[in-house]
Amino acid sequence: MNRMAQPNLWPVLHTVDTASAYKAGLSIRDVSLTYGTSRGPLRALDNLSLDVKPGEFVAVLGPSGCGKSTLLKLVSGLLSATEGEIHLKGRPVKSPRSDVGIVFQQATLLPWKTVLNNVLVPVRAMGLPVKNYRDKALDLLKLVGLEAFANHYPSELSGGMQQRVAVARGLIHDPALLLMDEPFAALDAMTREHMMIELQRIWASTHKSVLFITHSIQEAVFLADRVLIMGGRPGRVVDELVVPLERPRTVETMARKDFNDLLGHLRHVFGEKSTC
Amino acid sequence: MRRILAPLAALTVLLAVWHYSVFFFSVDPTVLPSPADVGSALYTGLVRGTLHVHVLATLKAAAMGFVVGCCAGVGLGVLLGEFRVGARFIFPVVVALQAMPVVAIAPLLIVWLGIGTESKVFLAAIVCFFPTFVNTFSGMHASKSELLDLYKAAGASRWLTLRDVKLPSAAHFIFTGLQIAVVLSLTGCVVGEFIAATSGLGYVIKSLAGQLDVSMMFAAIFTLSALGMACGLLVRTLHRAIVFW
Repeated sequence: MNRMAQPNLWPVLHTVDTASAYKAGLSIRDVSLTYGTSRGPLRALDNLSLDVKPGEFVAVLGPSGCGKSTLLKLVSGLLSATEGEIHLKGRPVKSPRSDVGIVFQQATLLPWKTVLNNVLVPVRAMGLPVKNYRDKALDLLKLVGLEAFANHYPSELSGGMQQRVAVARGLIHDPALLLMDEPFAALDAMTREHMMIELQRIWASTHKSVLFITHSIQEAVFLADRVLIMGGRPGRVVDELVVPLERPRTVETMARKDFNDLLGHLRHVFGEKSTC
Repeated sequence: MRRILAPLAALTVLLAVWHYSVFFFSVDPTVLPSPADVGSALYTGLVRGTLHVHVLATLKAAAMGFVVGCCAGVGLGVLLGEFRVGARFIFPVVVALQAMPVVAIAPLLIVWLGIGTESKVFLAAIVCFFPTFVNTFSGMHASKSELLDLYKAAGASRWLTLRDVKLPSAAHFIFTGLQIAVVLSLTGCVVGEFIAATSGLGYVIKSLAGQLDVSMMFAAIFTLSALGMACGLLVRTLHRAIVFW
Protein backbone atom coordinates (compact mmCIF):
# COMPACT_ATOMS: atom_id res chain seq x y z
CA MET A 1 0.00 0.00 0.00
CA ASN A 2 1.68 3.15 -1.15
CA ARG A 3 0.26 5.90 0.98
CA MET A 4 2.44 8.64 -0.42
CA ALA A 5 1.07 8.07 -3.92
CA GLN A 6 -2.37 9.46 -3.03
CA PRO A 7 -1.79 12.83 -1.40
CA ASN A 8 -4.90 14.38 -2.98
CA LEU A 9 -7.06 12.25 -0.69
CA TRP A 10 -6.21 14.27 2.36
CA PRO A 11 -8.86 16.83 3.15
CA VAL A 12 -7.94 20.16 4.66
CA LEU A 13 -10.68 21.14 7.08
CA HIS A 14 -9.40 23.45 9.70
CA THR A 15 -12.05 26.09 10.02
CA VAL A 16 -15.24 25.48 11.93
CA ASP A 17 -18.25 25.90 9.69
CA THR A 18 -21.30 25.43 11.88
CA ALA A 19 -23.82 25.76 9.08
CA SER A 20 -22.41 22.90 7.06
CA ALA A 21 -22.11 20.74 10.16
CA TYR A 22 -25.80 21.31 10.79
CA LYS A 23 -26.81 20.37 7.27
CA ALA A 24 -24.58 17.41 6.56
CA GLY A 25 -22.53 16.61 9.65
CA LEU A 26 -23.15 16.27 13.35
CA SER A 27 -24.35 19.17 15.42
CA ILE A 28 -24.75 19.01 19.20
CA ARG A 29 -26.35 22.07 20.82
CA ASP A 30 -26.43 22.72 24.58
CA VAL A 31 -26.94 19.09 25.45
CA SER A 32 -27.33 18.14 29.09
CA LEU A 33 -27.99 14.75 30.55
CA THR A 34 -29.04 13.97 34.08
CA TYR A 35 -29.17 10.41 35.37
CA GLY A 36 -31.40 9.42 38.22
CA THR A 37 -29.31 7.45 40.71
CA SER A 38 -29.97 6.09 44.17
CA ARG A 39 -28.17 9.14 45.59
CA GLY A 40 -30.29 11.55 43.62
CA PRO A 41 -29.87 13.10 40.18
CA LEU A 42 -26.39 13.02 38.65
CA ARG A 43 -25.53 15.49 35.93
CA ALA A 44 -23.32 13.61 33.48
CA LEU A 45 -23.18 16.26 30.74
CA ASP A 46 -23.72 19.96 31.10
CA ASN A 47 -24.51 22.32 28.20
CA LEU A 48 -22.26 20.50 25.81
CA SER A 49 -22.01 21.79 22.25
CA LEU A 50 -19.88 20.52 19.43
CA ASP A 51 -19.90 20.09 15.66
CA VAL A 52 -18.40 17.58 13.33
CA LYS A 53 -18.38 18.65 9.71
CA PRO A 54 -18.71 16.17 6.86
CA GLY A 55 -15.41 14.36 6.45
CA GLU A 56 -13.92 15.90 9.55
CA PHE A 57 -12.01 13.93 12.17
CA VAL A 58 -12.79 15.28 15.63
CA ALA A 59 -11.22 13.85 18.77
CA VAL A 60 -12.87 14.26 22.15
CA LEU A 61 -10.11 14.12 24.72
CA GLY A 62 -10.59 13.67 28.41
CA PRO A 63 -9.81 11.41 31.31
CA SER A 64 -12.16 8.65 32.44
CA GLY A 65 -15.36 9.76 34.13
CA CYS A 66 -15.84 12.85 31.98
CA GLY A 67 -19.00 11.59 30.36
CA LYS A 68 -17.27 10.77 27.08
CA SER A 69 -19.06 7.46 26.72
CA THR A 70 -22.34 9.09 27.69
CA LEU A 71 -21.78 11.50 24.82
CA LEU A 72 -21.28 8.58 22.47
CA LYS A 73 -24.49 6.91 23.62
CA LEU A 74 -26.37 10.15 23.03
CA VAL A 75 -25.05 10.54 19.51
CA SER A 76 -25.84 6.92 18.65
CA GLY A 77 -29.37 7.40 19.99
CA LEU A 78 -29.01 4.81 22.76
CA LEU A 79 -29.70 7.53 25.31
CA SER A 80 -31.87 10.62 25.08
CA ALA A 81 -30.64 14.00 26.22
CA THR A 82 -32.43 15.68 29.10
CA GLU A 83 -31.98 19.06 27.42
CA GLY A 84 -30.58 20.28 24.14
CA GLU A 85 -30.58 18.95 20.60
CA ILE A 86 -28.49 16.65 18.50
CA HIS A 87 -28.77 16.73 14.73
CA LEU A 88 -27.13 14.42 12.24
CA LYS A 89 -27.43 15.43 8.58
CA GLY A 90 -30.04 17.93 9.69
CA ARG A 91 -32.30 15.35 11.30
CA PRO A 92 -32.73 15.14 15.05
CA VAL A 93 -31.25 12.15 16.87
CA LYS A 94 -33.77 10.86 19.37
CA SER A 95 -33.66 7.11 19.05
CA PRO A 96 -31.24 4.61 17.49
CA ARG A 97 -30.66 5.43 13.85
CA SER A 98 -28.85 3.62 11.15
CA ASP A 99 -26.50 6.29 9.84
CA VAL A 100 -23.93 6.03 12.61
CA GLY A 101 -21.27 3.35 12.89
CA ILE A 102 -19.86 2.46 16.29
CA VAL A 103 -16.46 1.07 17.25
CA PHE A 104 -16.06 0.17 20.92
CA GLN A 105 -13.03 -0.07 23.17
CA GLN A 106 -13.13 -3.86 22.87
CA ALA A 107 -13.62 -5.28 19.39
CA THR A 108 -16.73 -7.14 20.70
CA LEU A 109 -17.00 -9.39 17.70
CA LEU A 110 -19.36 -12.36 17.78
CA PRO A 111 -16.99 -15.28 18.37
CA TRP A 112 -19.39 -17.71 16.71
CA LYS A 113 -19.44 -15.80 13.42
CA THR A 114 -16.70 -15.57 10.81
CA VAL A 115 -14.89 -12.29 10.23
CA LEU A 116 -16.98 -11.67 7.11
CA ASN A 117 -20.26 -12.29 8.92
CA ASN A 118 -19.12 -10.10 11.78
CA VAL A 119 -18.60 -7.24 9.35
CA LEU A 120 -22.14 -7.87 8.09
CA VAL A 121 -23.70 -7.75 11.58
CA PRO A 122 -25.08 -4.16 11.32
CA VAL A 123 -26.68 -5.00 7.96
CA ARG A 124 -28.29 -8.07 9.48
CA ALA A 125 -29.40 -6.15 12.57
CA MET A 126 -31.02 -3.51 10.38
CA GLY A 127 -32.94 -6.17 8.53
CA LEU A 128 -31.31 -5.37 5.18
CA PRO A 129 -30.57 -8.14 2.65
CA VAL A 130 -27.17 -9.46 3.74
CA LYS A 131 -26.17 -10.90 0.38
CA ASN A 132 -26.29 -7.47 -1.28
CA TYR A 133 -23.57 -6.32 1.11
CA ARG A 134 -21.16 -9.24 0.80
CA ASP A 135 -18.99 -7.58 -1.85
CA LYS A 136 -18.93 -4.36 0.14
CA ALA A 137 -17.86 -6.31 3.24
CA LEU A 138 -15.04 -7.94 1.29
CA ASP A 139 -13.96 -4.52 -0.02
CA LEU A 140 -13.90 -3.18 3.52
CA LEU A 141 -11.88 -6.15 4.73
CA LYS A 142 -9.45 -5.35 1.94
CA LEU A 143 -9.38 -1.75 3.10
CA VAL A 144 -8.44 -2.79 6.63
CA GLY A 145 -5.94 -5.31 5.26
CA LEU A 146 -7.78 -8.47 6.30
CA GLU A 147 -9.18 -9.83 3.03
CA ALA A 148 -7.31 -13.09 3.62
CA PHE A 149 -9.12 -13.61 6.93
CA ALA A 150 -12.73 -13.32 5.76
CA ASN A 151 -13.56 -16.91 6.69
CA HIS A 152 -11.57 -17.05 9.91
CA TYR A 153 -13.10 -16.82 13.36
CA PRO A 154 -12.26 -13.85 15.63
CA SER A 155 -10.35 -16.07 18.08
CA GLU A 156 -7.82 -16.72 15.32
CA LEU A 157 -7.02 -13.00 15.05
CA SER A 158 -4.79 -10.76 17.15
CA GLY A 159 -6.28 -7.89 19.17
CA GLY A 160 -5.27 -5.31 16.55
CA MET A 161 -6.76 -7.38 13.74
CA GLN A 162 -10.01 -7.83 15.68
CA GLN A 163 -10.24 -4.10 16.15
CA ARG A 164 -9.73 -3.58 12.40
CA VAL A 165 -12.64 -5.96 11.79
CA ALA A 166 -14.66 -3.81 14.19
CA VAL A 167 -13.75 -0.72 12.11
CA ALA A 168 -14.90 -2.49 8.94
CA ARG A 169 -18.12 -3.46 10.75
CA GLY A 170 -18.64 0.17 11.73
CA LEU A 171 -18.42 1.21 8.07
CA ILE A 172 -20.46 -1.54 6.37
CA HIS A 173 -23.77 0.32 6.25
CA ASP A 174 -22.09 3.46 4.92
CA PRO A 175 -22.86 5.62 7.98
CA ALA A 176 -22.58 9.39 7.83
CA LEU A 177 -20.63 9.35 11.07
CA LEU A 178 -18.24 6.90 12.67
CA LEU A 179 -18.25 6.95 16.47
CA MET A 180 -15.15 5.51 18.08
CA ASP A 181 -15.03 4.97 21.83
CA GLU A 182 -11.36 4.63 22.85
CA PRO A 183 -10.94 2.01 20.15
CA PHE A 184 -7.24 1.42 20.74
CA ALA A 185 -7.21 1.59 24.53
CA ALA A 186 -7.09 -2.19 24.90
CA LEU A 187 -4.17 -2.62 22.47
CA ASP A 188 -0.46 -2.69 23.28
CA ALA A 189 1.62 0.42 22.52
CA MET A 190 3.24 -0.91 19.32
CA THR A 191 -0.05 -2.11 17.85
CA ARG A 192 -1.68 1.15 18.84
CA GLU A 193 0.75 3.29 16.82
CA HIS A 194 0.27 1.02 13.84
CA MET A 195 -3.51 1.26 14.19
CA MET A 196 -3.36 5.07 14.37
CA ILE A 197 -1.63 5.17 10.99
CA GLU A 198 -4.02 2.57 9.59
CA LEU A 199 -7.08 4.46 10.82
CA GLN A 200 -5.80 7.66 9.24
CA ARG A 201 -5.47 5.86 5.92
CA ILE A 202 -8.94 4.26 6.21
CA TRP A 203 -10.52 7.57 7.15
CA ALA A 204 -8.87 9.35 4.24
CA SER A 205 -10.12 6.82 1.73
CA THR A 206 -13.70 6.75 3.07
CA HIS A 207 -14.23 10.49 3.71
CA LYS A 208 -16.32 9.69 6.80
CA SER A 209 -16.88 12.12 9.65
CA VAL A 210 -15.33 10.64 12.75
CA LEU A 211 -16.04 11.42 16.39
CA PHE A 212 -13.13 9.80 18.16
CA ILE A 213 -13.26 9.52 21.93
CA THR A 214 -9.95 8.97 23.64
CA HIS A 215 -7.92 9.60 26.77
CA SER A 216 -4.65 9.55 24.85
CA ILE A 217 -3.29 13.00 23.99
CA GLN A 218 -0.98 11.48 21.41
CA GLU A 219 -3.80 9.66 19.62
CA ALA A 220 -5.95 12.77 19.58
CA VAL A 221 -3.26 15.02 18.11
CA PHE A 222 -2.02 12.47 15.63
CA LEU A 223 -5.44 11.59 14.23
CA ALA A 224 -7.70 14.61 14.57
CA ASP A 225 -8.35 17.76 12.62
CA ARG A 226 -9.68 19.23 15.83
CA VAL A 227 -9.31 18.16 19.44
CA LEU A 228 -12.05 19.00 21.91
CA ILE A 229 -10.92 18.89 25.51
CA MET A 230 -13.50 17.72 27.99
CA GLY A 231 -13.66 18.62 31.65
CA GLY A 232 -15.66 16.56 34.03
CA ARG A 233 -18.38 16.34 36.63
CA PRO A 234 -20.50 17.35 34.85
CA GLY A 235 -18.94 16.74 31.44
CA ARG A 236 -18.51 19.71 29.13
CA VAL A 237 -16.13 20.97 26.46
CA VAL A 238 -13.55 23.23 28.11
CA ASP A 239 -11.19 23.93 25.24
CA GLU A 240 -10.54 23.29 21.58
CA LEU A 241 -7.38 22.81 19.56
CA VAL A 242 -7.15 22.87 15.78
CA VAL A 243 -4.31 20.57 14.78
CA PRO A 244 -2.32 22.30 12.03
CA LEU A 245 -0.18 19.28 11.10
CA GLU A 246 -0.33 18.37 7.42
CA ARG A 247 -1.45 14.94 6.27
CA PRO A 248 -0.63 12.18 5.87
CA ARG A 249 0.93 12.11 9.29
CA THR A 250 3.52 9.41 9.75
CA VAL A 251 5.70 7.86 12.41
CA GLU A 252 8.17 10.68 11.70
CA THR A 253 5.46 13.22 12.54
CA MET A 254 5.38 11.88 16.07
CA ALA A 255 9.04 12.69 16.51
CA ARG A 256 8.72 16.26 15.25
CA LYS A 257 8.96 19.30 17.48
CA ASP A 258 5.64 20.88 16.41
CA PHE A 259 3.84 17.59 17.18
CA ASN A 260 5.38 17.42 20.62
CA ASP A 261 4.70 21.10 21.26
CA LEU A 262 0.99 20.34 20.69
CA LEU A 263 1.16 17.46 23.14
CA GLY A 264 2.83 19.75 25.66
CA HIS A 265 0.19 22.41 25.13
CA LEU A 266 -2.63 19.91 25.74
CA ARG A 267 -0.97 18.57 28.87
CA HIS A 268 -0.81 22.12 30.12
CA VAL A 269 -4.49 22.68 29.32
CA PHE A 270 -5.37 19.53 31.22
CA GLY A 271 -3.37 20.64 34.21
CA GLU A 272 -5.38 23.84 34.35
CA LYS A 273 -8.88 23.12 33.15
CA SER A 274 -9.84 19.49 33.42
CA THR A 275 -11.20 18.48 36.76
CA CYS A 276 -12.01 14.82 36.25
CA MET B 1 -1.84 -42.60 26.34
CA ARG B 2 -1.02 -41.58 29.90
CA ARG B 3 -4.56 -40.30 30.28
CA ILE B 4 -5.90 -43.79 29.69
CA LEU B 5 -3.17 -45.77 31.44
CA ALA B 6 -3.25 -43.95 34.78
CA PRO B 7 -6.94 -44.54 35.58
CA LEU B 8 -6.64 -48.07 34.20
CA ALA B 9 -3.81 -48.79 36.64
CA ALA B 10 -5.86 -47.37 39.53
CA LEU B 11 -8.80 -49.56 38.52
CA THR B 12 -6.58 -52.66 38.37
CA VAL B 13 -5.22 -51.97 41.86
CA LEU B 14 -8.75 -51.43 43.17
CA LEU B 15 -9.96 -54.70 41.67
CA ALA B 16 -6.93 -56.53 43.08
CA VAL B 17 -7.48 -55.13 46.57
CA TRP B 18 -11.16 -56.03 46.32
CA HIS B 19 -10.43 -59.54 45.04
CA TYR B 20 -7.79 -60.36 47.67
CA SER B 21 -9.65 -58.89 50.62
CA VAL B 22 -12.76 -60.94 49.74
CA PHE B 23 -10.48 -63.98 49.39
CA PHE B 24 -8.36 -63.52 52.56
CA PHE B 25 -11.12 -62.46 54.91
CA SER B 26 -13.56 -64.97 53.38
CA VAL B 27 -16.30 -62.36 53.09
CA ASP B 28 -19.82 -63.72 52.78
CA PRO B 29 -20.74 -63.32 49.02
CA THR B 30 -24.19 -62.05 50.04
CA VAL B 31 -22.42 -59.10 51.66
CA LEU B 32 -19.66 -58.43 49.15
CA PRO B 33 -19.20 -60.71 46.15
CA SER B 34 -15.77 -61.07 44.53
CA PRO B 35 -15.00 -59.13 41.33
CA ALA B 36 -15.18 -62.43 39.45
CA ASP B 37 -18.76 -63.02 40.68
CA VAL B 38 -19.74 -59.51 39.62
CA GLY B 39 -18.00 -60.10 36.31
CA SER B 40 -19.99 -63.22 35.64
CA ALA B 41 -23.20 -61.44 36.69
CA LEU B 42 -22.34 -58.66 34.23
CA TYR B 43 -21.78 -61.33 31.56
CA THR B 44 -25.15 -62.88 32.28
CA GLY B 45 -26.87 -59.52 32.39
CA LEU B 46 -25.34 -57.76 29.42
CA VAL B 47 -24.06 -60.48 27.09
CA ARG B 48 -26.69 -63.14 27.67
CA GLY B 49 -29.07 -60.25 27.94
CA THR B 50 -31.13 -60.68 31.12
CA LEU B 51 -30.61 -56.98 31.90
CA HIS B 52 -31.24 -55.67 28.37
CA VAL B 53 -34.92 -54.98 28.83
CA HIS B 54 -34.16 -53.07 32.05
CA VAL B 55 -31.29 -51.08 30.55
CA LEU B 56 -33.61 -50.05 27.74
CA ALA B 57 -36.42 -49.17 30.11
CA THR B 58 -34.14 -46.99 32.25
CA LEU B 59 -32.48 -45.33 29.27
CA LYS B 60 -35.80 -44.62 27.61
CA ALA B 61 -37.35 -43.10 30.71
CA ALA B 62 -34.20 -41.11 31.56
CA ALA B 63 -33.97 -39.79 27.99
CA MET B 64 -37.62 -38.77 27.95
CA GLY B 65 -37.25 -37.09 31.34
CA PHE B 66 -34.06 -35.38 30.19
CA VAL B 67 -35.70 -33.99 27.06
CA VAL B 68 -38.84 -32.83 28.86
CA GLY B 69 -36.99 -31.38 31.88
CA CYS B 70 -34.30 -29.66 29.83
CA CYS B 71 -36.73 -28.18 27.33
CA ALA B 72 -38.76 -26.78 30.20
CA GLY B 73 -35.61 -25.54 31.97
CA VAL B 74 -34.10 -23.87 28.91
CA GLY B 75 -37.49 -22.52 27.86
CA LEU B 76 -38.34 -20.93 31.19
CA GLY B 77 -34.73 -19.74 31.62
CA VAL B 78 -34.83 -17.92 28.28
CA LEU B 79 -38.29 -16.54 28.93
CA LEU B 80 -37.44 -15.16 32.38
CA GLY B 81 -34.08 -13.94 31.07
CA GLU B 82 -35.94 -11.90 28.46
CA PHE B 83 -38.68 -10.65 30.75
CA ARG B 84 -36.90 -9.54 33.88
CA VAL B 85 -40.06 -8.33 35.57
CA GLY B 86 -41.52 -11.82 35.43
CA ALA B 87 -38.25 -13.18 36.75
CA ARG B 88 -38.64 -11.12 39.91
CA PHE B 89 -41.83 -13.02 40.73
CA ILE B 90 -41.04 -16.48 39.48
CA PHE B 91 -37.32 -16.94 40.18
CA PRO B 92 -37.63 -17.02 44.00
CA VAL B 93 -40.45 -19.55 43.74
CA VAL B 94 -38.34 -21.82 41.55
CA VAL B 95 -35.39 -21.55 43.92
CA ALA B 96 -37.67 -22.45 46.84
CA LEU B 97 -38.97 -25.47 44.93
CA GLN B 98 -35.42 -26.53 44.19
CA ALA B 99 -34.71 -26.75 47.93
CA MET B 100 -37.34 -29.44 48.22
CA PRO B 101 -35.80 -32.96 48.20
CA VAL B 102 -37.14 -34.65 45.09
CA VAL B 103 -37.02 -38.09 46.70
CA ALA B 104 -39.57 -36.86 49.22
CA ILE B 105 -42.23 -36.32 46.57
CA ALA B 106 -41.59 -39.63 44.83
CA PRO B 107 -44.29 -41.54 46.77
CA LEU B 108 -46.75 -38.77 45.88
CA LEU B 109 -46.11 -39.48 42.22
CA ILE B 110 -47.41 -43.03 42.62
CA VAL B 111 -50.62 -41.52 43.86
CA TRP B 112 -50.76 -39.08 40.96
CA LEU B 113 -49.32 -41.04 38.07
CA GLY B 114 -49.49 -44.66 39.15
CA ILE B 115 -46.86 -47.34 38.75
CA GLY B 116 -45.05 -47.29 35.41
CA THR B 117 -43.12 -45.13 33.01
CA GLU B 118 -44.91 -41.82 33.71
CA SER B 119 -43.76 -41.42 37.28
CA LYS B 120 -40.09 -42.10 36.60
CA VAL B 121 -40.08 -39.88 33.54
CA PHE B 122 -41.62 -37.16 35.67
CA LEU B 123 -38.99 -37.58 38.40
CA ALA B 124 -36.16 -37.49 35.87
CA ALA B 125 -37.71 -34.39 34.29
CA ILE B 126 -37.92 -32.59 37.64
CA VAL B 127 -34.28 -33.20 38.53
CA CYS B 128 -33.18 -32.14 35.02
CA PHE B 129 -35.25 -28.97 35.11
CA PHE B 130 -33.48 -27.10 37.91
CA PRO B 131 -29.84 -27.13 36.77
CA THR B 132 -30.77 -26.29 33.18
CA PHE B 133 -33.13 -23.53 34.27
CA VAL B 134 -30.67 -21.88 36.66
CA ASN B 135 -27.78 -22.10 34.19
CA THR B 136 -29.83 -20.85 31.25
CA PHE B 137 -31.15 -17.96 33.31
CA SER B 138 -27.66 -16.83 34.33
CA GLY B 139 -26.46 -17.37 30.76
CA MET B 140 -29.08 -14.93 29.55
CA HIS B 141 -27.25 -12.19 31.45
CA ALA B 142 -23.85 -13.13 30.00
CA SER B 143 -24.09 -11.09 26.77
CA LYS B 144 -21.63 -8.22 26.45
CA SER B 145 -23.44 -4.91 26.81
CA GLU B 146 -21.58 -3.45 23.80
CA LEU B 147 -23.00 -6.18 21.58
CA LEU B 148 -26.51 -5.49 22.86
CA ASP B 149 -25.90 -1.77 22.25
CA LEU B 150 -24.71 -2.51 18.74
CA TYR B 151 -27.89 -4.42 17.93
CA LYS B 152 -30.04 -1.83 19.64
CA ALA B 153 -28.33 1.03 17.80
CA ALA B 154 -29.04 -0.76 14.54
CA GLY B 155 -32.70 -1.08 15.48
CA ALA B 156 -32.63 -4.89 15.62
CA SER B 157 -35.76 -6.72 16.73
CA ARG B 158 -35.90 -8.43 20.10
CA TRP B 159 -36.06 -11.81 18.44
CA LEU B 160 -32.98 -11.17 16.28
CA THR B 161 -31.00 -9.94 19.29
CA LEU B 162 -32.04 -13.05 21.18
CA ARG B 163 -31.01 -15.36 18.36
CA ASP B 164 -27.82 -13.57 17.33
CA VAL B 165 -26.42 -12.45 20.68
CA LYS B 166 -28.18 -13.69 23.78
CA LEU B 167 -28.68 -17.37 22.97
CA PRO B 168 -25.14 -17.97 21.64
CA SER B 169 -23.74 -16.04 24.63
CA ALA B 170 -25.75 -18.32 26.92
CA ALA B 171 -24.76 -21.52 25.10
CA HIS B 172 -21.84 -22.37 27.39
CA PHE B 173 -24.07 -21.95 30.42
CA ILE B 174 -26.87 -24.02 28.91
CA PHE B 175 -24.52 -26.89 28.14
CA THR B 176 -23.08 -26.77 31.65
CA GLY B 177 -26.65 -27.23 32.88
CA LEU B 178 -27.26 -30.09 30.44
CA GLN B 179 -24.06 -31.75 31.62
CA ILE B 180 -25.32 -31.77 35.20
CA ALA B 181 -28.81 -32.75 34.13
CA VAL B 182 -27.83 -35.79 32.08
CA VAL B 183 -26.30 -37.55 35.08
CA LEU B 184 -29.18 -36.47 37.32
CA SER B 185 -31.70 -37.83 34.82
CA LEU B 186 -30.45 -41.37 35.56
CA THR B 187 -30.57 -40.70 39.30
CA GLY B 188 -34.13 -39.39 39.11
CA CYS B 189 -35.16 -42.30 36.96
CA VAL B 190 -33.65 -44.90 39.33
CA VAL B 191 -35.35 -43.29 42.33
CA GLY B 192 -38.63 -43.56 40.42
CA GLU B 193 -37.92 -47.22 39.69
CA PHE B 194 -37.22 -47.95 43.34
CA ILE B 195 -40.66 -46.77 44.23
CA ALA B 196 -42.99 -47.16 41.33
CA ALA B 197 -41.90 -49.36 38.45
CA THR B 198 -42.04 -52.85 37.06
CA SER B 199 -38.89 -52.63 34.97
CA GLY B 200 -35.61 -50.72 34.79
CA LEU B 201 -32.26 -51.03 36.53
CA GLY B 202 -33.54 -49.35 39.72
CA TYR B 203 -36.36 -51.91 39.85
CA VAL B 204 -33.79 -54.71 39.34
CA ILE B 205 -31.58 -53.44 42.16
CA LYS B 206 -34.49 -53.16 44.54
CA SER B 207 -36.01 -56.56 43.79
CA LEU B 208 -32.63 -58.37 43.85
CA ALA B 209 -32.01 -56.95 47.31
CA GLY B 210 -34.90 -59.11 48.48
CA GLN B 211 -33.26 -62.18 46.93
CA LEU B 212 -29.78 -61.33 48.28
CA ASP B 213 -28.37 -61.58 44.72
CA VAL B 214 -25.70 -59.02 45.48
CA SER B 215 -23.54 -59.86 42.45
CA MET B 216 -26.32 -58.96 40.06
CA MET B 217 -27.05 -55.81 42.10
CA PHE B 218 -23.45 -54.75 41.60
CA ALA B 219 -23.73 -55.60 37.91
CA ALA B 220 -26.77 -53.31 37.63
CA ILE B 221 -25.03 -50.53 39.58
CA PHE B 222 -21.92 -50.71 37.39
CA THR B 223 -24.10 -50.71 34.31
CA LEU B 224 -25.78 -47.54 35.59
CA SER B 225 -22.48 -45.77 36.19
CA ALA B 226 -21.27 -46.79 32.73
CA LEU B 227 -24.48 -45.40 31.25
CA GLY B 228 -23.98 -42.17 33.22
CA MET B 229 -20.45 -41.78 31.92
CA ALA B 230 -21.49 -42.53 28.35
CA CYS B 231 -24.33 -39.97 28.47
CA GLY B 232 -22.01 -37.40 30.03
CA LEU B 233 -19.48 -37.97 27.28
CA LEU B 234 -22.19 -37.59 24.65
CA VAL B 235 -23.26 -34.22 26.05
CA ARG B 236 -19.63 -33.06 26.35
CA THR B 237 -18.98 -34.02 22.74
CA LEU B 238 -22.09 -32.15 21.62
CA HIS B 239 -21.01 -29.16 23.72
CA ARG B 240 -17.61 -29.02 22.01
CA ALA B 241 -19.11 -29.50 18.56
CA ILE B 242 -21.87 -26.88 18.90
CA VAL B 243 -20.17 -24.27 21.11
CA PHE B 244 -16.91 -24.40 19.16
CA TRP B 245 -15.69 -20.88 19.92
